[in-house]
Amino acid sequence: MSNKKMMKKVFEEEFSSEKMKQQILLQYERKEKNKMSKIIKYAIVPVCLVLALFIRASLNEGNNILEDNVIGAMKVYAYTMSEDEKVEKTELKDNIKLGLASYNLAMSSVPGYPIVFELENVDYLKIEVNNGNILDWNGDTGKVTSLGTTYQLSNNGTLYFNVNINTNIKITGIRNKNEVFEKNITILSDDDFNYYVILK
Amino acid sequence: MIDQETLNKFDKLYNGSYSNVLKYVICNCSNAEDIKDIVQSVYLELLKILQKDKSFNKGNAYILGITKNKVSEYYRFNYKAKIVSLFSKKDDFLLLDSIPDNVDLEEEFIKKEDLKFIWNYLKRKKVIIFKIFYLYYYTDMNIKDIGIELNISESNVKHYLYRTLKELKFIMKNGDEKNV
Repeated sequence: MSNKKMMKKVFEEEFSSEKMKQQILLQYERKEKNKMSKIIKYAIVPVCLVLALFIRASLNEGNNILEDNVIGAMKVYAYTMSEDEKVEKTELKDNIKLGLASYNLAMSSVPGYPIVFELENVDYLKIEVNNGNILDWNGDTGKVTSLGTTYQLSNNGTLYFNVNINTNIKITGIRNKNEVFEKNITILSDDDFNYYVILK
Repeated sequence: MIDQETLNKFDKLYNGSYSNVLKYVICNCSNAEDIKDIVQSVYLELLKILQKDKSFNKGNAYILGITKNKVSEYYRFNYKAKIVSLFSKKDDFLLLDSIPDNVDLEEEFIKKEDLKFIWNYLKRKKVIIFKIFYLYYYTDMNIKDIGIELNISESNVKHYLYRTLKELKFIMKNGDEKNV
């Protein structure tokens, strides 16, 4: 074989088209694999984050379900007269008629009939009065403010009611903007001007 | 994974353009060691394009465009113009001076087992010598055209060609390069 042919062979060996093609294809496959592993590697963090958020959201949803299953309620107390004519704070129970302490006698120092509200699992109580109105009284300053016939009570507290015969107080418990319960306090009076309260 | 359709298209484009791409890269590279890297980057780019654009229907001119970009990109970002020569300039002259003038260039002194040695020898020479050898022996270009292609005079082409052949013959007759 001549030098020329042999020299040609040197280049053919080194730059063999087929060999080069195989190398290119191999390299391409390798790059694609690396790309995939990089994607997987870098995707782990966002995937974990998404998973964490998802789990958190699921747990929150669970909490919401739990919260939704909690019964929203309230406790209402009124001041009644005991048998020995002592004024006492009594919890109102459904459909139990209680005689209210005489406003004039026992509670002349307060602006109206006091009713104590305790909130349980509600965001606030929406209080609407029919045939009467709501009063707020600052015990320290003695200042009385009329709150009108509708009021939102967000914390436990005492409201004073200017009552007439058949005053009705509608109380709606609100949680997550939903109405969770509705109660009515009706104040009645008899011919002797004794006042009674009933919760329904 | 490359799908069969892309692979077929790649095969066709590769076979039709490879020799031109190789020639362009060799003629424009700064170092023989870079040739394979650059050629591979050209066809990797082509594969990427083919994978993305299934309706790709461009030909050799487009691939040569990629090649030009890759060569300039390669040397812009990855400067590898360092030429590793087998001899320092001083040694080079000494060696050339020691070669007798009566060397017969036509004498067959290259054997098959010497192919790797010759390749290693050539790629470590000045890149212009490597280019001349490639164009002369592999692409069968004549000396005049090589001069035009590489923008050097014909006599320079001849000088590089014959002197290097003399060197090569001398080395091969007198043992490996370490003994020179």
